Amino acid sequence: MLALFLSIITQRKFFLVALIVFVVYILIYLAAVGHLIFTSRMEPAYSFLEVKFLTNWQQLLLRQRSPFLFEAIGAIYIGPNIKLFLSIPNLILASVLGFLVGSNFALSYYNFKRLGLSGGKGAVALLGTIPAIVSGSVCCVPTLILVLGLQLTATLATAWSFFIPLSIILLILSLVWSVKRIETGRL
Amino acid sequence: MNKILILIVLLIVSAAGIFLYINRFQKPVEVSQEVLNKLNENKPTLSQDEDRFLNLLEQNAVSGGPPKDGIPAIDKPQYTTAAEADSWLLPNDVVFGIDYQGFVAAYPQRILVWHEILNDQINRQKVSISYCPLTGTAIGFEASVTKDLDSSFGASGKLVNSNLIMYDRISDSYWPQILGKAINGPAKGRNLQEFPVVWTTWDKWKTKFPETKVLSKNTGFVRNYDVNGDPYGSYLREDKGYYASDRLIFEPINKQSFSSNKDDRLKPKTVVVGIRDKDGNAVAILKDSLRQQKKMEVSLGDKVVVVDYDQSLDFYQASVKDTKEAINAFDAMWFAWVAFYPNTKLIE
Repeated sequence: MLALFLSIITQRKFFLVALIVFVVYILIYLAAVGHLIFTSRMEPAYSFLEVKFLTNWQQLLLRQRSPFLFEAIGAIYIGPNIKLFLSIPNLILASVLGFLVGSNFALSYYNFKRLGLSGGKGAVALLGTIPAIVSGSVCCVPTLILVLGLQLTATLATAWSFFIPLSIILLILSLVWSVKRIETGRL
Repeated sequence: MNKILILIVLLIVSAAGIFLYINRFQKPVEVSQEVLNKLNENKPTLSQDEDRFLNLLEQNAVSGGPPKDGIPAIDKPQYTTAAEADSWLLPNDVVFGIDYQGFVAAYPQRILVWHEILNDQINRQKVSISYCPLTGTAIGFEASVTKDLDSSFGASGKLVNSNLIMYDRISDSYWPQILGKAINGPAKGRNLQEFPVVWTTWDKWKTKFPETKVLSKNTGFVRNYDVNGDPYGSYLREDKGYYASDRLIFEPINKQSFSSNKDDRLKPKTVVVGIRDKDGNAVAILKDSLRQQKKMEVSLGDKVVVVDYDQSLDFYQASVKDTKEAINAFDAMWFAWVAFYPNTKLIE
């Protein structure tokens, strides 16, 4: 199964799909949790690229701000308008989610290509991306709550803390399901 | 299929492991026997009604999302000069100003919105400056739980009536900010001594106090302190954020009275000037009315309180008319004020 997955994902075309989705997802995730910020800084920037770390970074490295959102220990300032906060656990989480979402997209694309655009079957292949999109949007729940003006209840707050592990499980299942389908299709 | 099951179990176990690991940061405060003994001396006597109300507040404390200290208090504040602050503060940025025992400082809202509590020591007195964005309240507290028990405060992660519930770090009791009184724990029923925090703008504050110190952005945390960084919106302009909308994120305990329009005297987030005494008497003055009338006399229990508007700061001072004794008054959103003080008078 793993061999099949690797044989697909290492093909240039599908690797590129996975890579693009991976990068885009990480950027969206970081922006949604407020770690990638497009802003106008008031102070003049000393250089195009500045990297600053907190002196007390060791105390904050694993300290959480909310479930699965960790303290940043430094920041990268790019030009006058871009800030990237560095939280190691969140970068790892974003990479894991990004890898899974990217792989899901690549496999769906493979299925789509293989089946061709022949009517219903082509569309069915794209279904595999739905869990990826839905569970992948977990990054944005807090933002969504504010945007939609939902009343935040204790239940919702608890549920939301489980979205990240839940989405990882869903994404893995969806990946396994996609590979299995390809396997069966080949037989 | 078995492999998938094993995978799921592994993931659940690792998720649980991560949770347990994270939760080790949320250990309750270990309360020493000495602290308990001191808190047990001269315990405040609560009337049945008051006790019931404090219990009601405790029962209605809800998680705001972040865990205890997830919104980190500033414990080692650094200050800069007004000139340095001018490089990043806009003239109409909201600042919370204090003039406490000769210590004059401004705390930019852009910073405090991310921390909600700042602990400091001024002339040997521990103090906490608190700001709750969801109820629009900024209050200064002397951080002494009793006369000889100093503490510092942190954000409990809980809210009641959308208001920040602070916890003290010596007895772990819960203190809703607007109430300034502990609703549970060993300090239940005790009040904190307050001092005024002036809600004004940077240009007004520095004009009145050119030598003011200003809280530095070096808070020990990485946050977006930029002008558009406030996650709830902006006080400076009409936007789609929390401050400008009538919507609440968390329901107050008196939600029925709002939903059935029994208390539609004001829109929920209208700014009132709240004044109350330790007996539970409360009065709210529509801030816009105070701006127009400049000076108002209101009755609070059996006292008359004079509220003087100071145009240079767009703020006010309140004192008891007979004794000239200062009494704390602060801005608050109406829905929160009336939820904590359901019997409040309203002066429009």
